[in-house]
Amino acid sequence: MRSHVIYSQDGHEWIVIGRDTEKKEEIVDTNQYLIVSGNQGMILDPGGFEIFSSVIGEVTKYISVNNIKIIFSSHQDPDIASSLALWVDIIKDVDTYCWWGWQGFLAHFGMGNAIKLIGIPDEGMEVQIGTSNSFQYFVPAHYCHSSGNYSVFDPKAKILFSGDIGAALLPSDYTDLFVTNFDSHIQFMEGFHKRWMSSTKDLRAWVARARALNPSMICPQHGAIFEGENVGRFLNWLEALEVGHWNRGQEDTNVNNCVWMKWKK
Amino acid sequence: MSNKFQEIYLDINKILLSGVNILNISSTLKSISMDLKLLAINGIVQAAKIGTKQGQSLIALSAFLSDLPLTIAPELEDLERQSIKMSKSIIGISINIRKLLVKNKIIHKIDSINSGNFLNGNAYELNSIGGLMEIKRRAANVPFIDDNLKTSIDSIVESSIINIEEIYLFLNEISLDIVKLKNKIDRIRRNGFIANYMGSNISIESSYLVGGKSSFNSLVSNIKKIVDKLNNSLDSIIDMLAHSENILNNVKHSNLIK
Ligand SMILES: [Fe+2]
Ligand SMILES: [Fe+2]
Repeated sequence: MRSHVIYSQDGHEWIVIGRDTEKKEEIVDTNQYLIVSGNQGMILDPGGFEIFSSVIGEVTKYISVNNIKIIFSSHQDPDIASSLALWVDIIKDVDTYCWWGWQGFLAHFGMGNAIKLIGIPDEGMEVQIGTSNSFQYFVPAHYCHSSGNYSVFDPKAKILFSGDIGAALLPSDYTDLFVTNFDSHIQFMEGFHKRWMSSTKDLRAWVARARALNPSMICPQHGAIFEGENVGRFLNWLEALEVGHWNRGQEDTNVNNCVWMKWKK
Repeated sequence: MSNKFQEIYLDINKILLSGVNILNISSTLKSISMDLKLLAINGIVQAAKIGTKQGQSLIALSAFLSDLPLTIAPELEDLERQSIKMSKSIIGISINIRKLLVKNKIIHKIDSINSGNFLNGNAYELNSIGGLMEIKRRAANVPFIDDNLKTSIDSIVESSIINIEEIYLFLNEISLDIVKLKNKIDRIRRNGFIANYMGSNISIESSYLVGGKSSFNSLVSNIKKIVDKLNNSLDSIIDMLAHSENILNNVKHSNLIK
């Protein structure tokens, strides 16, 4: 597992933790993000059970685990939240934020621990960590992947954490943390977005929201970070994308596209 | 973490398997008890056909027999409830062991970040209070490249102590559960004994019959068969409990998790 400081100014830091070389091959690679501000920490998408020890090992390089005050789950997937029980087992005083509709579902990851889950309203909310003016905004990203889904915007760092939006399933020899060639990066994102996102309308609304925030970095939960000109390129590409397709985009609504129908013939 | 601790984890999962098997057997006991009831009702019907004084006493005996499943039913439900409770405690232990295994990895990660001078090549175990105290003591005395590492170790040790305490609580609960399950089994077995006793009474009573003796003979031999089936199932539960008790005693006296 590697960690890298992607923003640091006046005691306010963003750290990406990922590119786990020790993980089992069958586990999809994930990026976890740590915000440290005024000696308090916030974890964005804490990750799965299997990689927990590697993630927390990296976290301790930057902050004592006790000082992590907020855990944020962009949505309900196991690669995001199956480690929650282990986090709350070690850190006693931590709030976990997720969409209000996922509270009862994420509680299933409890493993005997009571996870203090705080529901985020549909329109989003703000939270504060540290003593400085470090506010983090939960930005709605519903139906852009999960039905209850958020991004996180940090106005101080101008970083937008996008969860599974912008996710890329990279080959194992891809080691860059940042997207270096946007055009060749599309091949790693396209399939994921078309299949794992359900609503083109909501995705375009999210793009408009993201443009209004004007981030200097967009950080996804899988793949590489968009920075500088690649932020705009990514948003343009996303805006033009039609999502919500299975069957490679062909005849998705055809009633006969079903094993049962074919078998009946 | 030592292989012995991994072995404990596997052993605990074996007890879980016994718990699940006990649950499976409890549900078959319900059908055995239902078989007994059907048999008794059949006895009542046969006895009613006789219509004499002997018929009257055979009806009474069969009716008593048909009430036995009603007596056994709550015992079987308790058996099931107790097995589920035991399985929950076993899962509780299993989860805590998994947490300790993960935390042990973290301690080694932190040690390697701190250039290995914390554990100093020693394998301090997180699976015993003694081992944990040793880790805490070393954390207080060894220089760390960063204070974050030291305070994180303290948090991990503190939460590991809670894991071990929980394992102990669950171990004691399981021991109590096993005693309760054994008591339940004794009570169910007693009902089987009563069924057999009623069967022999039916056999004596029907021996004076001029006709219809054979149907009562087969009734009695079927009762015996069902009670044997019941006893066999109860025996296999007892075997599983004895096996689980053995594993538990080994875990308790293994010097691990202490
Ligand atoms: Fe996801
Ligand atoms: Fe994901």
